[in-house]
Amino acid sequence: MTRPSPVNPALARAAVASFLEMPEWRQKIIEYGWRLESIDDLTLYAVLRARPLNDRIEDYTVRLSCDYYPTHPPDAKFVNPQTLEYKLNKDLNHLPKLAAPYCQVHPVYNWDHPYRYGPQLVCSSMTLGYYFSNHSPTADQVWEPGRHTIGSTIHTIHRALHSTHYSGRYVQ
Amino acid sequence: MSEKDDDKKPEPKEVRVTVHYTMTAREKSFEAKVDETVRQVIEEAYKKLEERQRPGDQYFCHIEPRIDLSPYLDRTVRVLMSQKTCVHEQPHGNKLVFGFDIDADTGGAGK
Repeated sequence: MTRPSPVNPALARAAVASFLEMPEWRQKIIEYGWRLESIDDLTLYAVLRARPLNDRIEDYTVRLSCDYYPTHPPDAKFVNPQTLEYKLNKDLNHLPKLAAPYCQVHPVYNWDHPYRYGPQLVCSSMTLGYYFSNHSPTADQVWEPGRHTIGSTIHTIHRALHSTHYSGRYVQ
Repeated sequence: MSEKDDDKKPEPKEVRVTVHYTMTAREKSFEAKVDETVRQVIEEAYKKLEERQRPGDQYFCHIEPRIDLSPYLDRTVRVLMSQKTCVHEQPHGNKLVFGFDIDADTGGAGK
């Protein structure tokens, strides 16, 4: 699979702005209770609530970097909600344990090639890191610009957080 | 209306189906007969959404907890109603609604 290239920033910014105006996704953002905010024109963060485990309700913050969007999905990584960053030896406890077949979190992925958003990988064909790692999606799984949007990425993570494949928060 | 009156209510012949295609946030609504199987309703939903069935697609009740519909595919909507699974009465009305999600597969671990 060809390695992705960044999109012209003006086009990427327009695509992000267009997503934020899509009525069907605006409705879903409310329905699912996502808190979605912009850091800048190409970077968003979403606060997502996981299914309760042992009566504990946990929220997680996902940073979405959209400089390859819409040709490729946004990079998605779980971050410290205070800093909106992920520091390897400090922020492990801000990651959920997700092991869904369609979305798995690797706190430190063994990257074969340099990846600017590593070392964490939220492994799904709806995230950019998937296309920088050794994965081979089927034709039906691969990201399709126009059909898939930033909402597809967030929903995939939301779905995993609400599934039995979610087993709580990492402990530092 | 008393509980006794509820017992006398004629059994509905149709439900209002709302399907949510979660990957694109598209929704469609249509009527279905309670004697149709869940599989038939899902096939109609794909037509309404103008989507095709893809390998790995999964079906869940729209409301939490998202019950997996795969064990019910060859059961009728009436069976869902009798088991109070996915089908419920609209508030302030007597219409039955059946809301479900289609989750398309995405590549993940090991793929």
